[in-house]
Amino acid sequence: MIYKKTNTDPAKYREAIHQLGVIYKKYQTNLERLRQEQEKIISRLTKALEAKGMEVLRRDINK
Amino acid sequence: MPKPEDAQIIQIAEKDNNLSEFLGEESENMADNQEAFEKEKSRLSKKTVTEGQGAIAAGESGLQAAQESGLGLGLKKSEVSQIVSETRANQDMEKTNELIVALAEETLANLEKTDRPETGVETLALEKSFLTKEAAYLEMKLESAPGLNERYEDERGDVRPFLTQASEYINRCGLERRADESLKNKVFNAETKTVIKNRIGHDLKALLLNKESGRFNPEKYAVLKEQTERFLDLIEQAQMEGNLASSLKAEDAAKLIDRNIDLIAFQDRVAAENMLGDHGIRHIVGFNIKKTEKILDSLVNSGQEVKAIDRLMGHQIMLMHDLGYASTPIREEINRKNFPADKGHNLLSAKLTRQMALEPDSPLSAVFPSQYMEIIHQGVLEHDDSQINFQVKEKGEKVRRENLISAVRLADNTHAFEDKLPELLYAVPESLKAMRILKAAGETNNHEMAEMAKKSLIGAIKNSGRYSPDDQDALIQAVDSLNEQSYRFSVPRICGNKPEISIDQNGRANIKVQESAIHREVVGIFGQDAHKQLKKFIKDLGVELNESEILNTSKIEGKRVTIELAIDDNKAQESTSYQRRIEEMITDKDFVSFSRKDLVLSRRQTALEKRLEALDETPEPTIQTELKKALERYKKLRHELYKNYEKLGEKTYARISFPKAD
Repeated sequence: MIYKKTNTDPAKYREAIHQLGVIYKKYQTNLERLRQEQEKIISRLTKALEAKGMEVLRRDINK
Repeated sequence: MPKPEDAQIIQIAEKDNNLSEFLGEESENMADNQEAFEKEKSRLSKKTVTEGQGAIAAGESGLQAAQESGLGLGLKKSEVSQIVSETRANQDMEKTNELIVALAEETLANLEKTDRPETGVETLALEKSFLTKEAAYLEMKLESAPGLNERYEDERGDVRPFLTQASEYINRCGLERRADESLKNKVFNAETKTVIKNRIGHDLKALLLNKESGRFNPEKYAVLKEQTERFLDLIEQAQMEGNLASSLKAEDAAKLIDRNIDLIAFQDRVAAENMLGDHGIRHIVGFNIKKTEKILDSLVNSGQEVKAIDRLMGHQIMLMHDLGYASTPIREEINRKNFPADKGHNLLSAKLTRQMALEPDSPLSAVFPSQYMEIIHQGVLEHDDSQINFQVKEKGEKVRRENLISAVRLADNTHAFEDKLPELLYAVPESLKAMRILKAAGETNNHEMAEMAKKSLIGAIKNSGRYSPDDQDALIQAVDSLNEQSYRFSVPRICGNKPEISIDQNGRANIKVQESAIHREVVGIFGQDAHKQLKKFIKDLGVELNESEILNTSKIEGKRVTIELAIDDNKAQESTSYQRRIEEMITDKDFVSFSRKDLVLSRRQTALEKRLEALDETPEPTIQTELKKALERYKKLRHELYKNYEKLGEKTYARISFPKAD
């Protein structure tokens, strides 16, 4: 019985590098989704603060 | 028809038209590709961390900016805080950040576990080279080593069954092999070397100082511990000299150390169960490795360059050179008393070396890059060749390789004497007596005498208190393999001890051999040729001499060697500890008296047998009958002589002591 490694095609390297790229691409996609989540949180907070700010402004004008 | 392993190479080569060009070109590309892969992995890992950190920082600063904008709108701090709380902005951001961290960690793990593709073409080229050399060796030896082809192709001699047997043996001794967590993700350096060194003692104790479930031999324990520590020092030195990578993983070095210890322990156990010259720790470590290093020292003294990697390869070659003896196709045959089956054992050792180098996650290849594996394989395959060619004038890698191979051959070929004795005869000198009785039993066809001698010897082994149960099992198995001829190959080895070797300014090997103090007495007991082993020793070094030349020449000049003999009046005056144990027997009056008288009867019996044989051609019935009667009388006389000795012998066995070795 002969023991040998089976990957004889040099293109395997290109495949492996591509595989690294795929993993990273998946990360970027998911990270982007989480970034959008962050933006939504910030946006929600900003809107709430603006609403409160407007309310305070109107109250001051009406005084 | 190409072999299946070659077909793949040929197929690739056909695609690329030219095999050698293809292999060379791809090999270089492989190195580039490996580097590109590692760089890309590292780049993306770093980017994963920085982008994740960037996203978290951006989220935090966005949240902060939003709150500040609230203050800008004239809100009070408490109002801003209240809104932050009502919108759960902080908690949600924290959760999102946790998800980012988890995502980055998962990505890093996925990147890490994406393995670099194995260097398939390079490996196949290496395998091709190994197979070509093995095939040439097989062809050369087929005639002188009948059945070698079958033994070589026997799958029971493959690396997997071999390593399984070795592991089972190690486990039986109570040693479990596990990866050392403290070495994980660390490189091999002075610090991790110490970690590995510190655990060697524990492992070796389980194997060699273990009276319950392992072997018990303090001498072997000490010599193997010293060698293993030296091996680790040599790895470090080879790193410093730039021949081994400084990025060598500590885990890989530890795995190789474990593997080497397992291999040598297993080989030693197998060697103890037969009557071949030793192929265990005494031979491999106690003599061959030490002698190889001394020969390399001598080359250094002659101005030649020797690097740590050369010495390290010398150790590895020796640790593997006799693996074939322990592989099933040979072990089984030897245990069946088919002793010529050891011929060509090199080839089975080389096959195991090749397969160990090419197995997935090979610790051997992890430490030794392919250019060194080539040398190790060559050293294993050609270790018993008598050709030596030391170079002292030239320098360079090729010269260093040739010197190492010559040192390996010279060391192996000069281990011919006392400490090369089979384990049974070395560890239990009492077996010398049994062999002498077996000689008489064989010559007189006396089965009862033979069985009695073996039984008494087994009793001596069991009652000595010196051996562990596993030692006893191996030694008793060796007793079982004893026969009337056993003394022929073993006893002559007592003629000398460790020869001294030096390499002079012209690259000539000078070998000094001194006859041992007790040699004449021992061979005398068996009526053997006094210089049989010396002649064999000289022949193994490639020099042919007759008896009178040996007796009358103090310096024998071969093509590349000078052998200096110190025999007769110049023999050693002092005895080694082994010889002192033997002396105890050869000065035993009852035994010596039995042997001498039996020898006289043996010679007369042989003379009668020869006479009778000659008469077979010209039938003379009366004389034949008379001679046959006389022969029977001699056999009967020898049996009576033995019976008388046996009565005394019972007392003799009981009073044998087993003094501690040096």
